[in-house]
Amino acid sequence: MMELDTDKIIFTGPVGAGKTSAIAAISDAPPVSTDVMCTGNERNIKDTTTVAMDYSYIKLDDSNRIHLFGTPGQERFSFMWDILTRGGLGLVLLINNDHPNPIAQMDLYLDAFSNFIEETGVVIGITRTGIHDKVGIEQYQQHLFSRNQIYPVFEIDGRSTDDIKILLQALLTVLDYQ
Amino acid sequence: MTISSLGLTDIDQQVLQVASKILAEENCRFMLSNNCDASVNIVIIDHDHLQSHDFLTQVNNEQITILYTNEDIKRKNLVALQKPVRVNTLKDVLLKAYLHLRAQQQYTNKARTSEENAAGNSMTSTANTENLFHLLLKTKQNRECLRINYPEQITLLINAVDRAAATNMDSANLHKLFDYPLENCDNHNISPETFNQQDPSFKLHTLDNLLWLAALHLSSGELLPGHCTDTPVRLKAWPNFTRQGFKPVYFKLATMLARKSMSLCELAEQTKTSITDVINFYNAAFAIDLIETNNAVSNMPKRKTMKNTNKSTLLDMLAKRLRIG
Repeated sequence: MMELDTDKIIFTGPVGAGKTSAIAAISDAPPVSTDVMCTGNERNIKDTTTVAMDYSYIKLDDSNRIHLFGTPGQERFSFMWDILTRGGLGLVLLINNDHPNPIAQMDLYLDAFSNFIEETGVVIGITRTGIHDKVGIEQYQQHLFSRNQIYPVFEIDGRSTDDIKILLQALLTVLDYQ
Repeated sequence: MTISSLGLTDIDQQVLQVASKILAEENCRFMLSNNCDASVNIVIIDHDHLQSHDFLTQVNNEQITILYTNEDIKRKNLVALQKPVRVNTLKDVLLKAYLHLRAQQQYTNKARTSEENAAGNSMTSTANTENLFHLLLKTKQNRECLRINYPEQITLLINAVDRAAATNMDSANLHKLFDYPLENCDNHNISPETFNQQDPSFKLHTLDNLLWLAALHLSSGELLPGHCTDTPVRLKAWPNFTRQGFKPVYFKLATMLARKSMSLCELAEQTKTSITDVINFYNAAFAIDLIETNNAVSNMPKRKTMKNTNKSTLLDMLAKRLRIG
């Protein structure tokens, strides 16, 4: 059985933020997903949703791996969030900019994972952005400043390997300079 | 910048040469002069030397004096260093002196330019000293709209009211806009309506993204006029690196400056980054309103954890594996 308390980076965020795609973009093996068909309002966002975790890894050498875990997005599975973060190296929080209130979503996850973030670090990726957005990157920046939490926050395409690499580069630097 | 010395021992001379060499690698170049007079920028004096006391009375207000002494001496433009002086100590002092003198020179040049303009000199604005970065920043700060006509029918439109830019230069060659001498371009103010009537073939950019690129491309280690490398500053937000471009070293700078206020000199020292890179990063961050100089803003809370060596190794391996950092 796979150990959960291993060297891992956690990807979290609401339904449809792009966690599964982001893990797939960066990992060495296709992610193992525990997806089921969406019911209720989430059906407007996507067809399937993760109910336990996504899993994949990055191979460092013959004996070392960094494990990548994606948390389920629905809040009713939030009991998994604590389990998955145990022993983790850091957090990647993805927020869907198309959500009616994406900044409130960001607050929810920053608060839910506050202990883990305090012990490790977090980077924030904003997905589904465009020129005519209602909420621009500046609003996320200003909101984080008002919380006195000046975390890296970048616009990303969750399918882009380069964008996910930049997110991870920021996370690694934050962890290195603790 | 010139340095001269009086009464230094052979070892102190070697320390001076090593410190100068290290700074030269960071683009802070000094010329070591044999003339110990009012013409040099920095004078280093051993206070125990017979002629030092006489010389100190002749030093002018524009020179910086570095005095090797074990006495407690305080004077304007004088830095007293306890003997023996080590390379790192001297290097740090010389760096601060260099930046101070350069800021002074920039201020003097700007004041001279203003005087010449006021006297009716035919030079328009600061075309001979201004580059596109300075022009874009001024346009943004004045909330103006501008049209810049380059040769070969290339045009750049700026709308600081809506924080947008548009150009018919393709994105891959945007850097060519920065390289072209401004004095060979025609620029004039336009209205926001004229900006909005641009040709559909023009590509839209955010003004901040253009400013960021221009700052990194054109700063060349020159701090914005009126800014000081000793002033504590802090980042209000991380730059949006995925869309604004970066060098790997900027991640370190952003991490430190987001966490707490510090001067640019301290930032360079603590991250072991060249002052040129620090200044370029600072200019770019300032231009897009990411810099906070209000010391009342509290630093981020200190983090709980101690560094875990095993985790550090793992993270280094990850950085190499992803070919980042």
